[in-house]
Parts: sequence; C-alpha cells; structure tokens
Amino acid sequence: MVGSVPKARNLSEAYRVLDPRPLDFSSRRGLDSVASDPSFYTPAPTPQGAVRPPSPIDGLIRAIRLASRYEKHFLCGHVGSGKSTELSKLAVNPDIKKRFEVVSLRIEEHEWATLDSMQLRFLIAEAIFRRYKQEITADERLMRSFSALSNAIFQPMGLVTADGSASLEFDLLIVKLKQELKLSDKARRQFRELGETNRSLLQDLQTALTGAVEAQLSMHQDRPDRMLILVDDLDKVRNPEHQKEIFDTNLGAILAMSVDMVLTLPTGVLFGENRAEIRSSVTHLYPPRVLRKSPDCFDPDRAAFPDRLAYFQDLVDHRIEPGLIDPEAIRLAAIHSGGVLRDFFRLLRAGVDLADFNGLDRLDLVAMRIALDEARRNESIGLYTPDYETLLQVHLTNELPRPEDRRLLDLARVIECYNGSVWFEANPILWPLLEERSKKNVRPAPAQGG
Amino acid sequence: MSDLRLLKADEEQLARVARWLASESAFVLIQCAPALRPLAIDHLRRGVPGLHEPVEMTDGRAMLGALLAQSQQHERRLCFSLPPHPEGVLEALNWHREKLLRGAPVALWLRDEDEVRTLRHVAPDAFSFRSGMVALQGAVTPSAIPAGESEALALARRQHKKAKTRQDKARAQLNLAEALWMVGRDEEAVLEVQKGLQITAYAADDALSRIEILLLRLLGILRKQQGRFGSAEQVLEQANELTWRLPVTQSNPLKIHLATASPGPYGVNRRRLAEASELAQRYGIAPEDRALIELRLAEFFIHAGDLKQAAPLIERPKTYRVHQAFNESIFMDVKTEWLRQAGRLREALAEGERALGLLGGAEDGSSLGYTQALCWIDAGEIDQARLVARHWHLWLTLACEALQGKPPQELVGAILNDDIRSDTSGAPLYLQLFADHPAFETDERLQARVIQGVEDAWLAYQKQEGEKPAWFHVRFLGYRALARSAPAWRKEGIALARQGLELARAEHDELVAEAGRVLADLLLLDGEYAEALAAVVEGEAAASTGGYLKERCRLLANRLLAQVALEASAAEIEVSLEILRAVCKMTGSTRIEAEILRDLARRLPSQTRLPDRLALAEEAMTLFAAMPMPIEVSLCMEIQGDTLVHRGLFADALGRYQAAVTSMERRGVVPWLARLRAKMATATVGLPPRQHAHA
Repeated sequence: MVGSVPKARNLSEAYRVLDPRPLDFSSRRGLDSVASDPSFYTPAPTPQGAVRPPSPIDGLIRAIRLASRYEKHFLCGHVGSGKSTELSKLAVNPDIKKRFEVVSLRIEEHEWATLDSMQLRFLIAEAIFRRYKQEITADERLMRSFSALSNAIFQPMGLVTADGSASLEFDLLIVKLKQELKLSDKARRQFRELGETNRSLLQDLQTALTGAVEAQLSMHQDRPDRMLILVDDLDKVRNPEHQKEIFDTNLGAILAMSVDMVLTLPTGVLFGENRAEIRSSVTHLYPPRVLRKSPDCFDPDRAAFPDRLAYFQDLVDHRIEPGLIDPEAIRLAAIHSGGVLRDFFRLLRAGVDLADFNGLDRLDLVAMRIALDEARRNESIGLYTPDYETLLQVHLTNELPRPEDRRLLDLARVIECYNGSVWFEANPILWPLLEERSKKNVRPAPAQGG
Repeated sequence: MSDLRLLKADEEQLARVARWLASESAFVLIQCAPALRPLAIDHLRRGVPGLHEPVEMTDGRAMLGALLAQSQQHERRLCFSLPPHPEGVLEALNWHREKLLRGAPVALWLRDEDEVRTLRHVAPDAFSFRSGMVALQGAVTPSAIPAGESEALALARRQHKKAKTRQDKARAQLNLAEALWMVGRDEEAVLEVQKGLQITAYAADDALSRIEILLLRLLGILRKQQGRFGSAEQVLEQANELTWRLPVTQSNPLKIHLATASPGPYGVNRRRLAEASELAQRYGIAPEDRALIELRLAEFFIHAGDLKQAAPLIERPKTYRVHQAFNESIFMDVKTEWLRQAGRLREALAEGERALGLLGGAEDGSSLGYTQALCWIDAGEIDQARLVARHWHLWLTLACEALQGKPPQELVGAILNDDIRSDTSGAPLYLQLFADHPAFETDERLQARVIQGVEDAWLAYQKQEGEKPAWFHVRFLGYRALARSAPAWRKEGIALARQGLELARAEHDELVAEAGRVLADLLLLDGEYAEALAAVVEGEAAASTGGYLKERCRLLANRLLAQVALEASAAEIEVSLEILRAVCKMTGSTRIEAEILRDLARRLPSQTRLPDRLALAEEAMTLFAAMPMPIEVSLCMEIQGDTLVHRGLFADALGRYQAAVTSMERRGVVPWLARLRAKMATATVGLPPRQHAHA
C-alpha cells in the first residue's frame, strides 16, 4: 500500500487505478477518482552525474523564486505529459508557499464554453477577488476601477462600502458579468470590443485588486506578501485563431498584469523572435525519453532504451500488487507510449481491460500485444495519405517539416523529445503503419511472364 | 432488400462498451454508421437497460449544460452525438473534459472516420480522456436477385429472337450462352453453346469461324468449372486449331483468349499463358486483352504464393470493352482473393463488398459470393459467411455448419449425396473441411468416410469422357494420400504420395514441388525423417525453379521438422530457420508467413526449444491478430498453452486456453471447445493449491 490507497489486487481494481487523470494535490474537495490520489506521484527520472541540471519543474520553481515582481512563466508540454499534475503539485510546494499565496485558476471549473483574452483576464481578476473578497479593503482606487467597469458594461451603479470590506455590489457585479459572459454571445462580443477600445479597464481593476490584496497580506507577518496565480487549462486553447488572439495579439495585456503567474501553454504556440524575452520563461515538460532516434527502424522495441524503463515499472508498482501485470507488458506499454505518461497509462489500462474482458486474471504479454494492435488501429482512424507522408518524414528526419505541423503535437501523432536539444518523433504506436507506407513508396519490379 | 446486421466482432465490441457503461465513470467513443445505430443501441440495452437514444448537441452551450448535468449525477448514462458543424460543441467538450469522468458514464456516437478525425483535431484533450473507443462495422446481407432474368440475359434473348442470318443467329447464340454463364446457369449455357456450334459447323467465313472459336472457348471454360479438365483441354485445343484459318490480326487475340482459358494446376496453364504473353509482346494487343493475361497471371501468382509478383498486375487499372460490370467484378474478385491471401482481410472484405455491389448481389452459382464467404469465415463471422454462401455453395455451408458445431458425422452424410460425389473439385474441399477438424485426429470411422468420399470423387473423375490431363492425376494422388494421413491408413497414403511424385517427375514437373511436399508431410508423420528430407530436397529445388513460394515455404518447414527430429546441430537448424523466414518474406504475404509458423509450431514436439515452439506460436498469433483472423489466433493460443503446460507453466497455459475459449465462444465457433476445456482441466490440476482454488 502506498499512501492512503491500497494497491490493486485484481484487474478490475487495476483498471480503476490506471485511470490516466491528473493527480490532485489540492484536496479542496474529494478526489474525482482514486487514480487522482497524490500519493501515486512518482518523480520523473533525472539525469545522473556529478553536475545535474535541475528538472524542468525544479527549474520553474527556481525561476519563480528568483524572478522579479510580476513575472509571467509558461508551462508547455505534450498532451498527457503531466502539466496539470505538476501545476497541482507546485501549488503545495513548500518553497513556493513560503514566498507566495497561491491562487489556482482552472478554466474548466468555470462554466464557459469559449474563451478569449478579455475573458481570461477577467477570470484572473475574478479569481483574485473571489479568494480575498472577505479580507480586502475597498480603497478608492478599487472602487473607481469597479465603477468604471460597471459603467462601461452596465448602467452606472452607486457603490457602498461598509467597514472597509469589499461591498456586496462588487460581488454582484462580478457575478452578473460572469453570468452574462457565460450565457450571451452578444455580451462576450461587447466585452471583447470593450477590451479593444478601452484597454486599461480590466488592467486597472486587476492592478487595484492586486494592490488591495498585497496591502492586506503585508499586514500579516506570517503570510507571504505576494500572490502567485496558477492558470491551468490554457493548453486547451486549440483553435489557431484563438491561440493567436490570446498568445500573440493580446499577449501584452497578459504580460502587463501586475501579478506573478504561471500559465499553461498550448504546444501549437511558439513565441517568435519578437518575443525572445518570453521564450526563456517557457518551461517545457518533455516525456521521459524511452526511444532512440531510429530512422532506419520501425520497431519501437528495437529503438527502446532498456534502462529508462524502470521508471514506468515504478509507476505501476506504486499502484498495483506484484504479479498482476507482466513486466514485459509494462515495458511494451512504456515503449509504445513514447514516454508520454497519459498514453502509457491508457495503453496499459487498455491491456488490463482486454485481459479482464477475456476472463484472464492477469495482464500478460499476449493480451498486451493484442491491446496495442487495437490501439494502433484506433490511432490510424482518420489518418490520410498526407498525414502518413508527414509522419514518415518526421520519423526519418526527427524534424517537423513545416511550422504548421506543430498541430501534430496537439493530436499526439508526434512526440516532442529532448536529449539536450529538441527533436521530434512520430508516435511509436504508428511506426508499423509507417513502415508499410515506406515500402509502398518503393515500387516492386515489373512481373515476369508465366 | 438488403438487411443490415451486426457482426460478431461488433457484438464483441458492444460487450466491451457495455462494461464501460456499467462502470462508475467512463468516456466512450462509438464509431457507428447512423443506419446501424438502432441495432447497436438495442443490443447495448440488453446489458445496459434504460440507455437512451443519442441526443444531438446543438451548440457549445448545450454541450456544457449536458456535461454539467451529467457531472452531478451517477445513475443515468449520457449518450450524445455531434451536429453537422460541431466545432462549438467540441470546443466546449474540450474545455470541460474533466466533467466527462465526474458522473455516470458518457458515450459519444460518431458517424464515421471523419467525425473521429474532427474530434481529434478540435478536442484533442477530450479525446485523450477517452476510456475506450470502438468502431462498429455492420454487414449487409447480399440482396437476392429478383425473380426474372438479368438485363443482359433479357437482351440476349431479344437478340436471339430477332436474329435472321446464320451469322446473326450464331452471334445471338453466343451472347445468350455468355449471359447464362455470367449468371451461373452453366447447364443451360452448355446447351446454348452446343446449339451455337451446330449453327457454326463447317463455317465458311471468318466471322462465323470467329464465333465458333468463341463458342468453343466458352464451352472449355464451362467444362473447366465443372471439373472436367480433360474435356476442357480437348475443346480448347479444337478451338486453337481453328484459329489458323483466320488472319493474324484476328487470330492473335483469340489465341490469347484461349490460352487464358486453358486449365492447369493452380488455375492456369503456364505454358499456354507464356505463349500468350509472347504473342502480346510481339504483336501488341488491345488493353482488354492485356487485362485478361494479367488477370490470369495474377491468379497463378496468388495460387503459387507469390503475392509480390501478383501485386503490380492487380494494381494496374483495367479496361474492358464489353460486359464492363461483369468483367470488373471478376477482376475485383481476384483482387479480393489477393488481399485475402496477403492477410489484408479488412481490405479484402471491402473489395468483395464492392464486387458484389457491382453485380447487385451474389448470384446463385457466382464465384463472387464464394470468395467473400471465405473472407467472412477467415474473419470469424460464420453467420455472415452462411448468408453470403447460401445454398449453392454447399461446401461453404457445410464448412460453416462444422464451425458452428454440427457433428462431422452429419456433415459427411450431406456430402455422400450423389451430386457432390461426382464433383471432382470437391476433393480438396472435402479434405479441407475435415482435416483440421479435431474429430478427424481420433475418429477412425470419420477418417474412413473421408477416404471413401475422396475415392468416390476419383472414380467419378475416371468415368469422365476424354483424355485426362496428367497434372490432375498427380494432384488427385496427393488428395488421396493426404486423406490417409491418420495412422491406420498412413502406409497406403505414403505409397500413393510416392506414386504422385513419380508421375509428377515423368509427366508434369510443375507439380514436383507439391507432390514432394505431400510425400514429406506423410513421411514425417510416420517417422521416416531421412526419406522425408530427400523428398524435401527434390521438392524445394522444383519449387525454387518454378516460383512456387508457398510450397517452398512448406517444404522448408518440413526440412526443419526433419532436422529437429534427427537432432541436427543448432547451427544447421538456425540456418534452416533463417532461410524459411526469408522465403516467407519473399511471398509478400503475412498470412502465408503466419500459416507456416503456426503449422511449424503445431508440428514441433512440445519440448522443442530450437526453434522455440512458444515463440513461433506467438509470432503467428500476432500476425493473425492483425488481419484479423480470430479463430487462428485462438488456435495459436492453444499451441502456446500446450507448450506452457509442457514447461510446467500451468497458470500461463490456463490463461492462453481461457482466452482461446472465450474468443471462440463469442464467435459461436464450436469444434475446438471441448478439447480446449479438457486442456484447461488438465492445466488446472497442475496449478499450486492456492491458484487451483481461484481457477
């Protein structure tokens, strides 16, 4: 047993604990699933040697600690690489908690179907307000900001304060605005237009809020005097137009917000040369490397680093009783996931499900292979010739042919790897299909007559 | 009217969906054509009562509302589908993917691959949260041909009525006979050909001579289809003689047509086909005639197991001047068989469906239904195979009944019907039906009846008029020999096999490879390893020269078996294994490779480590699983189980047997179940007491 959760003793229990959801360190409410138990956390393998670079997350923590005020940090990584888990863990990191009051914002928790940069900034301000509304004093600046926002969107309202606490009217304004933005396309459009015509509106509100909160925090010696906002789910901005709107056109407005932040970033967003200063603020989470560059080989088994696979055995050992899953099945799942954690759990879980479905009492290599074949077939759905050509090229060159091919990272068709420099690899589960494709590209000799 | 139905593979997938939907939380993707959805939901409701029809989400807000509601409750499953422009819905789904797994299970019904692709592109995070994904295939029962006659036949009859001149009548007779042949009414076609030949007798002009040749060609094809190869050869030779009357521009295409119709082992007469190819190269030919040569060559290469050589012949586009749909469907049938032999079963089924669709369904007597039915049997879809095969394809119907559990004794009774006994092409099918049946190994009465059936076919063949081609005699000796593979009759079988090899050497060297392999098979069973090796050497040389890759693979497998039995050195065995693998790869067929490895694994003694019996069976199983051929997968698991029992790994063996039984039970495949269950009981005895209690 590890932590609070007993290890799985049969395939049915194994299926539950292998659920590839982020681990939840927040304990704000009950866990969504036993698989989210933070006691399952297993640190990623670190390079050996006398002088080791910090892990990406350690590097991020150091950067946050050493940064000047109101810095913005970005966390980027492959779908399923563990960003949400690491962000959740960051929120409870003792070093961070010593220096910052952490405010977590998860877009998913807000009942909005769409998101643009104005809405994002509003949500950030709203998160701050919601957390500290009972504590902060409504000073003149804050009142002025709220009034300006209210006047711009709704009719003018008189704001009344009582005994230095934020007024009920502020609360009502926020709730009302949030509801409008949730339900009304027109409201969202107007809000967006407001951002274009009056850029300082939300900025002023957020600055005033931060000022009020920091003033409050400074009155307590046992509390940090700064906030750190952790914004998760921004990596789910998948539409290229929305990505441009938030992370390019209006990025300046986010950068100008007077609060320290860590934001997740979609893999499709690459800060260009005019954003060189921000690029250094991006932390990449790469999957643990399990494969070598292998342009001449289409068998992931032959391309695997055998000594890198112990980590994945550990991940399973934390959750499952020994003997329930054949170590070879774990090895296969790890290799075919390319090291991407969610894919590793998903493949292993598929094997467990298949074994259970067929009346077996453990997952062996045979069932795992059949599960992998099935996963490969499912992965190939919707792949057309141009996709195969691109993926083949990625496999042969370990490069992305064109900038727009970064979309393949979002689709989990390509994995972004790192061994001192960044390179790319086609999802190893697709390699046998790419091999068939590469053979078709070589035409057979003409047939001889009978 | 065609009926849409769920396949066994679909039911299996739905059983998994039902498990997911019965769990605490799940996000399930179901790719299912809208027409099949009602059947799928009905089927799912058996395991998941109260499942509602999928609700189409109109926009992002509706999607969010549904997810919010679903995340709050733990009883009712949510089924939904996407609207025609789903981007807003998918965006909301992607943002709120966490809610998918908070409440009771959620199922998203996707119409087709394009919707899956769109989901992946617009909502990749939600996609990555899936608990599982299935794709339902469904199948259509081929539509019955409406009562009455096909258009081509009706047209031919009208032309026949209107014909006035001798030439017109002869032409109309030919058209009528062809139309009858194309719909499988062979007996009637023969009668019309004979009437036509009466009209063209003593033809005085080129036009009539040409029609006479074509009539004779058609008669040759009909005889060939009836298994009357001697008569077929005779008629085609007669036609060939007539071509010399015609100018070269007319005779050359006819010679090509006659050559492609000539019977021979493996479907074609290689010598005649080579002559036709030479003619074509020297004089040039019309595209449709080239198509015919390429088709026959492809058929030969498929039979010989050289699918790489067949590939370019299949892939080149074909054009046909007449009977476009019919000729195209024949080509597609050959392509279906090529794909089937290559181990590309899904593509074969799709191609076969297209071929059947071209002709509006499987005609009674049509070979199209035959290939398609074989594909369905390979895929473990026995019910569907029976629907496609219908009553004309008796052999296939019997094969299906055998797979679904009809006792072999009852099947033999059906086979002893007079009509079947006289069908000489029945012999190989007869063997196929019973040789792999578990009962054949131990039931001596069944063995005797199989032998009798093959002998009856042999006698019927001997009674046919005309000179018999030597090649068929050689093959029949092989059938008769293999029917006697059981210990009680094996010596007789070996004697027959020796006869077959001698005759092949003397009369038809194309068949030395096959005859040598048959002899080697029987000698190995009888423990005559040294003599088996000699037969292998001779056969392999012939196979290599003639390009018979499948036979060559079988012979090389026999060599390995002999070497293992004679305790050859590890180095020798490894070299033989490497050569075998290389030749398997040369075929370009994963199916041939899988069959060879499976057979080798099955025939190796349980204790064999080099080659590793277990590894061979696993390798074969992986290849079969990819095709997919679930019955073969189960049989490979059985071999693995046997090996593991021998190695004392009873728990692992039990797992293999259990998986094989579960798969066969799901497919309704019966013959091996009793044997597998008996093996499970034996393996359970070998378990330690604690595991014993759990097994």
